[in-house]
Amino acid sequence: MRFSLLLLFSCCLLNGAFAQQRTNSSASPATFSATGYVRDGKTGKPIQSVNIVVLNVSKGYVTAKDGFYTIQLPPGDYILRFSHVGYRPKQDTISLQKTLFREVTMEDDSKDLEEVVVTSESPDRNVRKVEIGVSQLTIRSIRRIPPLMGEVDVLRSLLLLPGVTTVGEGAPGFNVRGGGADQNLILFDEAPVFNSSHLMGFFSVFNPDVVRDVTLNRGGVAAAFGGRASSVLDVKIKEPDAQKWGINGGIGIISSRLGIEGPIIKNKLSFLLAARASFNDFIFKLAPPNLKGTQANFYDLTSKLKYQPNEKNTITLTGYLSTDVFKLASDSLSGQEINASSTKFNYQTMNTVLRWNYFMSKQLNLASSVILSRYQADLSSSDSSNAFQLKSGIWHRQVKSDLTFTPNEVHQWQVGLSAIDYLVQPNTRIPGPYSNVLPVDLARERAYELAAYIQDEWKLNTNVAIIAGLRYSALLNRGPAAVRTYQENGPKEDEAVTSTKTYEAGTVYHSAGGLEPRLAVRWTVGDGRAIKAGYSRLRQYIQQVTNTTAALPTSRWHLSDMYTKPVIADQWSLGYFMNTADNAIEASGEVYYKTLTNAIDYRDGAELQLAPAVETQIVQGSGKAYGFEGLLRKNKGRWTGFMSYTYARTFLTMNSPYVTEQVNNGNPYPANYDKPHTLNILATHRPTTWFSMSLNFTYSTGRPTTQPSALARVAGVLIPIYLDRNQQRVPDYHRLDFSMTFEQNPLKKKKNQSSWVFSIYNVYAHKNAYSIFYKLSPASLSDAYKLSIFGTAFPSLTYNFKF
Amino acid sequence: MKTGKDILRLGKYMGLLLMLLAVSCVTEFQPEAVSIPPSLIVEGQVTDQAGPYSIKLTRTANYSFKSLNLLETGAIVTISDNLGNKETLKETLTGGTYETASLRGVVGRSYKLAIQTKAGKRYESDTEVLPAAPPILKLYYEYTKEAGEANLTKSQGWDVYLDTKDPEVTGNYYRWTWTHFEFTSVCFKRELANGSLTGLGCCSNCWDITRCYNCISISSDVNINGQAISRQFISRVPYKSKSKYYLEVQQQAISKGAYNFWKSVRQLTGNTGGLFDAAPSIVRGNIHCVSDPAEMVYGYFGATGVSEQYINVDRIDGQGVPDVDPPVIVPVPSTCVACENNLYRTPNKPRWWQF
Repeated sequence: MRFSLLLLFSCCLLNGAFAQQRTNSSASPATFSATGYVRDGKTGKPIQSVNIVVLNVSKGYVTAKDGFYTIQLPPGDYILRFSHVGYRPKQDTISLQKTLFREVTMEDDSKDLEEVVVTSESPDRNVRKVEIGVSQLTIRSIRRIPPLMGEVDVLRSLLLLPGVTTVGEGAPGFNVRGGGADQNLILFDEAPVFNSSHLMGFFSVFNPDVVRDVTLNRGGVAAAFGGRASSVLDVKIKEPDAQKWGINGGIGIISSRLGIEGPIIKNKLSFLLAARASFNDFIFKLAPPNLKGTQANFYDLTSKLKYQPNEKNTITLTGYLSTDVFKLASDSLSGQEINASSTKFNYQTMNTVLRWNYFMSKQLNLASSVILSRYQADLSSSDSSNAFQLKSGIWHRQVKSDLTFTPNEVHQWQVGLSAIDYLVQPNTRIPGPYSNVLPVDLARERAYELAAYIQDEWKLNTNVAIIAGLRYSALLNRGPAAVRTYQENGPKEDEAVTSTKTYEAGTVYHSAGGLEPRLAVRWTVGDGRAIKAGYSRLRQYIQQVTNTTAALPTSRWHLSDMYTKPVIADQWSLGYFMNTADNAIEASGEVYYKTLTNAIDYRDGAELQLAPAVETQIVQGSGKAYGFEGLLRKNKGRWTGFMSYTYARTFLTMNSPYVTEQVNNGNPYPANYDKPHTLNILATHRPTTWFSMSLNFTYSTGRPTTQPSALARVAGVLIPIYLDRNQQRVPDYHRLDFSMTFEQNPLKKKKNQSSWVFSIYNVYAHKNAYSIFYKLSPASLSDAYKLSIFGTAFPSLTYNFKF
Repeated sequence: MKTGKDILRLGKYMGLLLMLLAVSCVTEFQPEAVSIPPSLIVEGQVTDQAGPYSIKLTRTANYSFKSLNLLETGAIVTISDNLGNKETLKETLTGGTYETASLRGVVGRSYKLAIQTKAGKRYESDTEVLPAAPPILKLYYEYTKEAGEANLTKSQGWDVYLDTKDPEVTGNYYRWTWTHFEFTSVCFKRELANGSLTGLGCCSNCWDITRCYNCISISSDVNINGQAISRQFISRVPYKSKSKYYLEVQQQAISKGAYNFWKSVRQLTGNTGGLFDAAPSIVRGNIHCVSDPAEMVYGYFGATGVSEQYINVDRIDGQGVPDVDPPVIVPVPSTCVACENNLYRTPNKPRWWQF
């Protein structure tokens, strides 16, 4: 022992002397590089974005997508600290005298007590990374959040993040910093997801068993992303296990899951397949008779094939299919006005992504993808005389390529190109065989969305780093199309059409585009403290137009054209970030101000579904959103958790010289999702390695609603009179959830692992308002009613297994 | 439009589904009070049937089950047509309702309403052209048992349907209404402490009238132009007796404006406030204030073509004992009560009454 220490010591001395000599000689290189892969110790999978800090010189590096790292340093001895969420941090001492190649393995930290909760990047990423307004959640932290009906849900967990809200529990989609639900670019392994909800909004379409992590960019969106105005939600599918075969799954009240993964050729070709399906029809069999025919089923299937012929090339093929059937049986309760006896919603997402990552050298990496995404929805009624089927769909075909160039440790350049071919089928109505309904076939919308970008992450000095990016995007509408001309000096109405011009297939008849600058600056002001600022401009060319508070699966998507201008969002944000107590405590505060140009809302009495020209039903105006987001988090110890508070406001203004194109007489009004105050608290206690419990409390201001201001009686019918939109609010929302997880003791090594999760949603059974509605009934002494959908405590139990 | 309707309904269904998935509940709620100054409401129409036609003027009230729509009395109401005919309506004794004396609507002419209130404000309607209503080709019924209803009597009923033919030209809009007359011998009733009913007989023949005001049954030929309108649902006849059920059905040809008006009314009254409901909006009528265009006026003055038909629904096939109303015991001897002619009762024999 003593001998080896001495030897090491003398080596250092010798090396030091040698290095001294080398630096003095001008011909010799000033630095050496240490390179290698960081892999998972158990599965051998490369780990991306591992933070590598050279402790004695305070320099930081990050591993590339394939786990590869390069460290450039003058000769010497260094202590490297490797850290990544979900892994036990590791320290390594290297003696850099020549180019080193070093493989590093990291161990899963799931057995550790240092549990990281919710947004958890590596311990000090909070203050080190340059981006502002970016949160990452690993699937392990998502699993700690008390689930609704036992369903671990990616999107529901996002609602705990500051700045993310929803219009109601069980509503599809989410709203980020004052943006509509259609302004979030939701990517599932790079393919866009146009409807992220199962069962009309209760659960999200992502199978938790295949999700690796989730990143939400709500502030500084990187130049590589574009096409939506509010945020980018990047959901990554895990890499298939390249070492051994395994089966996992779970049984819950709503859905059951089964997955298999493993190597077809060890370390070269591996495969993953996971299925999730609901088996809840039996609930309806026990239901009141008039609901017996109700059908509400979904399934989804995720597959990923990974081929890694050598260290430089990785090819993956991702496939995803999700289907929902929602059939409403009798309508005997809905009044006499309808003679349809059932309505069926059917919607499906089908995505395919082929991706090739070519690691050319330690400086260059090229990633190219071909992406196909299809969303189809239909609404049908099967009654003979009024039978119809209403079909709609979006086809998104994309090719893209991103090149990363890291010439040195100061700069990281990224350039990329993307081309999307859109085909939108608004609505086609097909009558049934004996139906009196006339067929309708609205014109398809076709366009190319092209984009190119360049970005540099530049470390100016040890304290200041910036990410500066510039993106150019454009939309080219192409024929066949019939384009209307409206009377000047008047509102756009069907009656005001003066002429219609038709364009041949392939003719580009309109284009719109522009620059989207992005900037993020980080200034480290002290140990574990940083100030960050960001600006971004985002342009959106495809919108979902709806006049309902929450979008239906059949709600219409519409491409920008000469009458519907692209939505442009400009956002400025500023934040202060602090880590103390060896990164155990994190605190941050961010403020943002955002303007929306060409924000969309519907006109009074709009009928969007079968309108031949969307511009006659919608209005465009301006919007502004601003707010503060504060977060305090404890990452270590037996008690972990966080508290977040958000103040956020969103106002829209739709003004026009014409009354029918105004909303609320052209005055600003709160958007549907304007909820000023939100407080979220999550606490997890883990007294032993096999048991943990979590408590989650959430409070938010009620969403705006429109209340009738007067009453008229016309021909015996009582008519509520509504004046201005969104001037009242539903009552405030608050809820407490609880969950307990029993796992096997990891110390008793067993081949099969299983766990039980018991949870209670809405512990104190608060009757939160899902909606407020107004009905006059002489039998009742009230004229307003509150509908609560989870009006009681809701317990559930889920069993998970892994072989 | 069909799909719009479905969306409306979805809100209700979502509620039902959720009730199952979770435990949803509806509770009373006290909203913040909102009030606006009372605005004028106008209702009434000219038809191609014999008059008198009436125009009713009221004022909006606060949105509450307690509030009343006050009558607008003392106004000067005139209806004119495009040929220069003009009639000033006469206010009835109860006030707020104004009736014609000689005017008779003619298909193809256009009509306009003018009002001058006691306070001197002037209001006018848009001109409305009186469209012709195609005849009702067939009125028929089908006996059905609702699946699922546990109570056999309540599950039974007769669905009444209508067939007609839409003219070749586009732009036809329809509204259907029904009126049920039932002979009654009791003109006054009251509940006793023990829950039984006591009452007094009528001094003359008398019929109870049943209508459904909230059932707004409308259609346009946008989707079916020139084709047959078949199996248009009118009403469901309950199994409350084995006797025949007398039903008068009116097929109204209305203007596009009236159709849109009723459509938005239906949308509003069918709204359950769910997240998937179409957002509420102002119901715009066809009346405006001449002196102040910004003043809100509600309601609709219509010119409507009407065709009528009747049907007697035979309920002899009903299974089991009908769900009869509790009997009313008329003490003997007792005085009789006059059969008033109002919205709910009439001493006049219905047009096609045969029994």
